[in-house]
Amino acid sequence: MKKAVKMCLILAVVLVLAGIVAVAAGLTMGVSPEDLQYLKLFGIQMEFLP
Amino acid sequence: MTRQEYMTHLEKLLWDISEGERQEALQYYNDYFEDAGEGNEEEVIQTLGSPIQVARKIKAGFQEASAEYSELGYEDVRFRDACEVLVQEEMENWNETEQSLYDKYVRKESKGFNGWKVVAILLLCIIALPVILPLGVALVATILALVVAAGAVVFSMALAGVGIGFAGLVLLGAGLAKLFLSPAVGLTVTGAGCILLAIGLLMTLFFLWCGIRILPGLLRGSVELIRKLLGKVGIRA
Repeated sequence: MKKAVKMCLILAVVLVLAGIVAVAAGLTMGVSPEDLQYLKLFGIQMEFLP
Repeated sequence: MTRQEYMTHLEKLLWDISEGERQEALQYYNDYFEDAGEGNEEEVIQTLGSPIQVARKIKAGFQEASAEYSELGYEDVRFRDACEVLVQEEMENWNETEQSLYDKYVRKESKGFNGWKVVAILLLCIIALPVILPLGVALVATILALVVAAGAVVFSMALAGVGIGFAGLVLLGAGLAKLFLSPAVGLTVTGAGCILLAIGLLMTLFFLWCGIRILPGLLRGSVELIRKLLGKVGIRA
């Protein structure tokens, strides 16, 4: 049980780090207006994006 | 040793006391054997001890001129008197103690039993019951409601964690699907999905831990609290 919890915590930390890196990379690469439209489908507000 | 032998031996040992005293002593022990019955001679001999011991006792008694035969057997008057004094003293002490206890009991009863007081207490109980009972029930219900509410919050937060994790998974899938068509959007969505998945995972774990660790303690504490409150008002479960 403790091992499973530990594994979950490690997975969560890895996911957060990977997510931050991925989001940063995506924003750095830039998002096209079509892409913005696509993101809106998911309900994500991307007005701050260029 | 038979009774006959025992008595003969005893008679021989009592050669140095007067005829009258010897006959009196022998008569006493003969009666003793008679009373015990034929079948119990051995037991009587064992109880009395050896003829030498008995003869020694008899002689010692006559020398002091203070011994006599009674229903309880051969006994020294001096000791009997001392015993009687002791018994008398004990009886007096016992009587005093008993009397004082009885007096205390009577005083307590006369002080404690008051018909009007009992009626007043009963009336007070009957009048206060419609107020105290709902208040008590409300208090218990409030405590239980708080515990249930805490449990509901924990459960709902754990479910919210599962929901967030599920949303993260969906975003992760959508991001991976979009990754090859539009890498920028794909990376952003995948990253958001990863973060949401992590948040959902952490939330679920935390609130499950709360549910397992904190809720039982909270429940036990509230039950103890209710029990104490009930104990204070004199209701025993």
